[in-house]
Amino acid sequence: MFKLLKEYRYYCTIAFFVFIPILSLNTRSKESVQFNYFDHIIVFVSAPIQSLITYSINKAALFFQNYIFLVNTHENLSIVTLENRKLLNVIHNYQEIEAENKRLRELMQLQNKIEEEKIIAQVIAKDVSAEFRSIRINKGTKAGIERGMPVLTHEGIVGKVLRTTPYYSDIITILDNLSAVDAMIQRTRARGILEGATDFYCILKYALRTDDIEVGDVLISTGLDSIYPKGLPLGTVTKTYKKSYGVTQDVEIKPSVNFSKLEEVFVILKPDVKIL
Amino acid sequence: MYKDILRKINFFIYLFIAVFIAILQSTFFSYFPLYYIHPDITLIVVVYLGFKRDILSGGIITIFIALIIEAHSSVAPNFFLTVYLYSFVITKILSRILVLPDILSSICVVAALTFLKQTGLLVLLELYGKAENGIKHVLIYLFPAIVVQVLLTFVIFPWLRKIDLKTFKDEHAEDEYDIHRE
Repeated sequence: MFKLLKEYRYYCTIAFFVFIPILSLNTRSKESVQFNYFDHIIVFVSAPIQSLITYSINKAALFFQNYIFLVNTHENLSIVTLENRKLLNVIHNYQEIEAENKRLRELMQLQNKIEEEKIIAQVIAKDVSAEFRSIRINKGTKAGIERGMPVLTHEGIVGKVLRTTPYYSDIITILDNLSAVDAMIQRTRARGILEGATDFYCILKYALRTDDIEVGDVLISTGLDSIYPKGLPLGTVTKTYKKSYGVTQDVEIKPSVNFSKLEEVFVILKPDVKIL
Repeated sequence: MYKDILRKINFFIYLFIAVFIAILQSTFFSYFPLYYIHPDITLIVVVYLGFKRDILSGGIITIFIALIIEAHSSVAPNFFLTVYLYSFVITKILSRILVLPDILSSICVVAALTFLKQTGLLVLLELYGKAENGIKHVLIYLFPAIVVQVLLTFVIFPWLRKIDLKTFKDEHAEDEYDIHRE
């Protein structure tokens, strides 16, 4: 037997590698899986570097914008350009601070509306794959974050906590293919399930064909999924699809959150939240 | 002794490369406008391993690489393990019976496996009942993804070969070492 195995070890190893995924891939369970010990080590090593790179990219983008502006100024002015450069740099820095302040103030305003405990976190990385759309934030279980907690911005719902380490958490956004949020149209209270589709829009599924849904309608959370607070904005209707058969219609939703410019989010620490 | 230590370090270098790739893809390539050409560098590394490593050591490195990448994605558990391990096995079989492990055949294999990976993604989404949502996105980015992967293969393969030469993992490393000593 051993001799046989040794003789055919190449094919045995191939068979072993073919069967590992078959045995381990579980598509029946839709439950999210927590980080294991190996993942903890990997995230511990990579997350600080991700944070540093994201910070550098943001600063470089800011510097680049400033530089372009300064080049234009240089073309228009001659002697005072040098002084203008310094002043414009200062102005741009102030504008960035002002924009940050505005974002934080808006976050705080929404924070004040929610009576439960919450914390602000920075987005440090996005999903490694272009086909899935999670983000990583710089707060974890040490800050009180647990799996399933809702994540918001002043614009609306971002997603929920997928898995955590002591100092970092992964958030599955509403744009992700595997995400689902119980939602309703604010105007008509027509209900459906919001699922992620692409980087730019989501699909509202299972809305009844007879429901009154129009382009421009605002979609909000129902709170019935026991994850997201009721009444928070999810997006606006951009298209409606009614097939010639069936009892439901599909609705294309543009998310209220601008995911391409997502820098800060806040996590609601207690799941039973109420909007005041 | 020195060569043996370097050969053993090679395994850890590949793990470090996997972490580096994960960081690169989750930060640098996630930003506009690079987002639209978001490559899968890991797949190229796995194809390289399929051509250059024996079935056992290459398979083990591939498993670790897949687990590292999975720690940086919201993808279904073991999806990347399935994709990369099957990619490794397919490359291994191809390199044994069908193609020569040169750069052109490597590019063909990378292109074919990128296509298979994207198709596999749709199959996975179908198992979750979400393929309808993702099909448009996958099809739009299918051709650009293959082109980017092919172009990157020209860059990544020589780099990996250099690493293997430096750590005496490549079969020609001994010759080059001797030449330098002479």
